[in-house]
Amino acid sequence: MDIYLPIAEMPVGVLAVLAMGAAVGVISGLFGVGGGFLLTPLLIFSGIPPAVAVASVTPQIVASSTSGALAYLRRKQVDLKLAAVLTVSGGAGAIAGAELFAILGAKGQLTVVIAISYTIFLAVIGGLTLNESVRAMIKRRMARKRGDALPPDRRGGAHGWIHRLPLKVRFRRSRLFISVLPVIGLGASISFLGTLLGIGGGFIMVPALIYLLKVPTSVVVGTSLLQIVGVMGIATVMHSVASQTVDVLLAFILMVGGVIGAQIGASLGQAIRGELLRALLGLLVLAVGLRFALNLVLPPVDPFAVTVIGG
Amino acid sequence: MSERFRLLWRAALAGMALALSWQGAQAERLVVDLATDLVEVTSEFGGTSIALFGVVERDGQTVSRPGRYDVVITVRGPPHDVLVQRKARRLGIIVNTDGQLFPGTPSYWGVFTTPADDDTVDRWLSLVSDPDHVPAHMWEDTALIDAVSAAREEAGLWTRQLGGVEMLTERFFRTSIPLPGLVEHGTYDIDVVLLSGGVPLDTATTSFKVFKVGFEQKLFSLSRNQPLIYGVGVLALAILTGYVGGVVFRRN
Repeated sequence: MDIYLPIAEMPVGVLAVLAMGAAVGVISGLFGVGGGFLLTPLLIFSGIPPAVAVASVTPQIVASSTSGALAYLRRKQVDLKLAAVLTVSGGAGAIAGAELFAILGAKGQLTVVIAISYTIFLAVIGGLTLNESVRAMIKRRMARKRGDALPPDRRGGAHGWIHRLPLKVRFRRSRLFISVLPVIGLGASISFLGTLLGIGGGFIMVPALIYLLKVPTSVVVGTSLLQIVGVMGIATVMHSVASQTVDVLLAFILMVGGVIGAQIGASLGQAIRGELLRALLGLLVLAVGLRFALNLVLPPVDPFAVTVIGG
Repeated sequence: MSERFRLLWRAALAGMALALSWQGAQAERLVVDLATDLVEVTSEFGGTSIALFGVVERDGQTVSRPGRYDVVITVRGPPHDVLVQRKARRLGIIVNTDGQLFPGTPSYWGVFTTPADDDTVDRWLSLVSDPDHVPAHMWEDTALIDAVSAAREEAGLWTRQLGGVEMLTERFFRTSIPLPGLVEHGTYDIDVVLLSGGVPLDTATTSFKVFKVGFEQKLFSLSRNQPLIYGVGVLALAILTGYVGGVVFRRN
């Protein structure tokens, strides 16, 4: 069954898009990630114009993060002040990202920039995730061999240079007294990238908050989710205004698929161990990155790019 | 095949410049009509086709013709600007390099004729269009031009059907104009040229409109005219969907 997308101005198979949303939803529920970094490439590879794919996944990320953010809010596992600072700085990043997105689209360079950014981004994230999870697996095995108890995760002091920065602010819920500058930097840069690429950026934000800012793990996920809702919300509105490529129908089908898939993924995820999950996620991310890299490096099937300007 | 569109494209940009000043008093008169002049794009729209009928009117004074009548029908969709870029390797990766902008390119472009070979149709087209109106520099890089044609042909947006016009009787013809699901909305101009022995006798023009109706149209115009309201609406829908999803599945 085909449905006509009013903004993309093309017919798509409803079930195919629903299945894509659900598949990525399963993955996002399984690994505890937003899934935008998989959903956007999947849409691009299946023929949706990259501009529409990126802009329409943005509201889908809002939808998939909302229920999680509300659950963490109810359990009071959110640092509201930290989330507010990240969202305000992220808003600036999102506005800049959406403007650059619209400019690149008008110059016919958006597709290439998205492909290059995704290749670098997925290779780095996939590599780091895989590296970290394999190390954790080896450590666990060694510890079991020696018969030791697992060493508890230590929460060390903040990095020296981050500690020395001025403009210190107290984040009571996170029990932190740190400079506001790295918080603003993180919020703005991740949101800029996220708006340009159609990703929430939770899986960069969470490790950055834990390892760089030493935010306690108990509030990290909730804070990151609330920040994603805020920033991707701003990005949705900005894309609607700047490039006018947000397709509400495409986004809605993806939302419905994603919400259903995430429930399946979440129950599956409880059956698999954490390190193994992260290793699988790392491999998956690397595979998608490789797909983009091949497109960039292999001689193109069609030696020309034909872009309609302005529509 | 795609290079066949070069001439066609110039004709499209130049416009049908057929003045037919040589038209004599005793010439035939061409009458055409469409089965429908409105194509509604709904959420189920996946393409359609429109039938065009035409009649060659003659009276007692009309000179008799030795040969048969030929008909050339061109259909042009709403124009838009197309940027064609050559992909090239820079620092090891494939990027889009400088290209050529083709303003006012027809988003849909169909040519339908009575059975004839390519060269004959090209000659007919050159008779009824004025390519000199198009800046010459646009036509230097034929590879870029052919690239657009190939992409459009593959999408079914540009089509050239020699023999696509069927003479039902000696003076009565019909053709079917295929429109794929990707067609742009707007006005589609149709030019019909009647020829005999390679000489144009009369022309007729008509047009149809493709437009989105109902919910799709409302969404589209909202996104263009009130993008801020549209964006906030999409955001509200996203938060509501996420909230409802969370509530529904929490109870399970």
